[in-house]
Amino acid sequence: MMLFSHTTGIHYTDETVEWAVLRKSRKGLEKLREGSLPVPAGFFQQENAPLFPAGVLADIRKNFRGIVTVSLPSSQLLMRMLELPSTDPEELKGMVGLQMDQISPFPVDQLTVSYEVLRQTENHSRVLAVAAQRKTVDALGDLFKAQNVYIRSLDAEVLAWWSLLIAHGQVLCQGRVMLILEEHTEFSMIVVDEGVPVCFRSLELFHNFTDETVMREIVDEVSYTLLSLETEYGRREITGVLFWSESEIPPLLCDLLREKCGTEVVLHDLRSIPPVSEGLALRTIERRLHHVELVPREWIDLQRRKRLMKAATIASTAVLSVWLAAIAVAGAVFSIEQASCNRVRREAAKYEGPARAAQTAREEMLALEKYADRSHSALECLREISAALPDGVEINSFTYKKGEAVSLRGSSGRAEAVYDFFQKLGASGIFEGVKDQPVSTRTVKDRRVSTFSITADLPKTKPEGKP
Amino acid sequence: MKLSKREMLLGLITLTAILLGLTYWLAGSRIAAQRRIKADKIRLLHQIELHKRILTEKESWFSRLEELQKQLPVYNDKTAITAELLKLIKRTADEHGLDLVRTQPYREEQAGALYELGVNCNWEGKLESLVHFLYDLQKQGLRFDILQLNAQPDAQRDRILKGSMTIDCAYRKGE
Repeated sequence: MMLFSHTTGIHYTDETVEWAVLRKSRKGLEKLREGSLPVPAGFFQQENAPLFPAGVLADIRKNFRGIVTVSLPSSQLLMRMLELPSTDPEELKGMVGLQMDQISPFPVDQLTVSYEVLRQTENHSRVLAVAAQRKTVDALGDLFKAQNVYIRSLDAEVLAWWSLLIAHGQVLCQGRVMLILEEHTEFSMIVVDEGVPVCFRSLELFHNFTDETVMREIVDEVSYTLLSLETEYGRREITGVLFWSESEIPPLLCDLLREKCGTEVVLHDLRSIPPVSEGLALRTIERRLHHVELVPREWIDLQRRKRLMKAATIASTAVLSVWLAAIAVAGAVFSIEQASCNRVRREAAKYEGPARAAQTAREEMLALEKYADRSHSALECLREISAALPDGVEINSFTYKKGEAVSLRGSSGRAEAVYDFFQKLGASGIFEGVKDQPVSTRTVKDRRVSTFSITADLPKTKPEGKP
Repeated sequence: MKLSKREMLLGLITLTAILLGLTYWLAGSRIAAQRRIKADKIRLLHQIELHKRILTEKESWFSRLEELQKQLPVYNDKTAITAELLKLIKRTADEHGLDLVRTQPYREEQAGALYELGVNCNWEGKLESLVHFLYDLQKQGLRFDILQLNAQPDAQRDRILKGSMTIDCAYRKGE
């Protein structure tokens, strides 16, 4: 769901180019900005003058946001009110196409045709069929495109006025009311029956409408329009004539119109309602199903494709950029880590030599200390055994092996003395333990003799005990 | 070029998949290498810590080693070390009345800066002589060590012991 939608309306006359940007959000509609620039002097007077002074866009296009809607003046449009016996959009479209083909002096393939439903009942529609020459529309589109502005919607200027008049409650809803609009000497008229338009018509340019001849010409045009309206919708009294004008309207023109329509002419200042550019933006932002749209389908497709291509390019670039950034960051991290490891390796190498030398010295020192340890020497073992030897026990054999054991063989007249000896040896602090303690007793020359052997274990020393 | 939303999405997914594959191809081996580097770094840092601790103790070890090494005699290369040592052992035994009936030197062995020479002796004598001899050797510190000692009474002579012993002689060599 979009939070905002923007539309830009661009309206031009032969004197000014005006624009307005609207934003629709949850809070409602708001006008972001608007402005106008004068058409360069003599622009439309030059030979083969372009349809639109595209040069002015260069200064104002940065202000445009969202869908760009441009108005086509009524003079460039063929408009016809149609009463059609259907409400189905597809049927209506077909019927409008057929009707315009009959009405238009140009083949329908050289036109861009659209319609707007003004009133609809269950099976009947009153529509305003609108057609513009394709070459006009294309020329306008090309002029905008040259300035990098892509028209997304083309609307009828008179319909924008109509929307503004409705929005500002300036339309009488009773009887037949005639509205005449004058903007920069361009005249349009709208006839409304009970609040619903029955006629939109461009009255062309009347530059010098203060001239009585021109005034009579205007009144004749109005008269002709009302007459043709009567043939279609029947005769009705005009209940009001509302004249919306930018310029001062000569009293004679009002008198002539009052005389023709049989009712007073009420004058209004056209500048009291918002500009038509705002009306265009408003119509686009609140677009209904049956809305005039003169932009050719292929323009929309082209723009959609361009947008899609742009989105695809941006998305691909974003993905690639993110990927490249990730790879670059990972690469940098790898390199930093590698450099850090190399630094640590160099530092480790710096310490390794001296530390190894110190370790070797330590091992040598420990080995020498062990070598110097005489706590389990042969002399100490002899001393310990002598101290433990009870009276009456004789040692017949003494075998000492450093770091292994001391083996003894001996004899005694008393077996108890031998066992005492064993006990003392077992309790000695020098030996880790005693084993192999056979004692045999025999009688020799009427005398009992006990012979024994014993092995007392010494604490183990490593094979490399010596340095 | 006509491109639908679906095609664009597929294109993006394909691009992402290709990039992921490329990433795996590029970074797969690097990640393993990175892990090795990290492990290596941790190991080296521990090693540095250990080496620093070792180096703080270095002085005391060296001085203690020097102290111990001072207890060892130093012979130069020109000295007939075996004969010198045998003479010394014989003289010591004689001093204490221990009779060395046979002496057999083994091959000299080297362990670092240290040299060892084993001497096997068959001996005869009184217990007191043996004890004094052993005491005298022990008194000389690192120089001599008894690796093996056998003793038994002489059946022919009263109060006389006989047996064998292996004396380990340690020394250093120098100029």
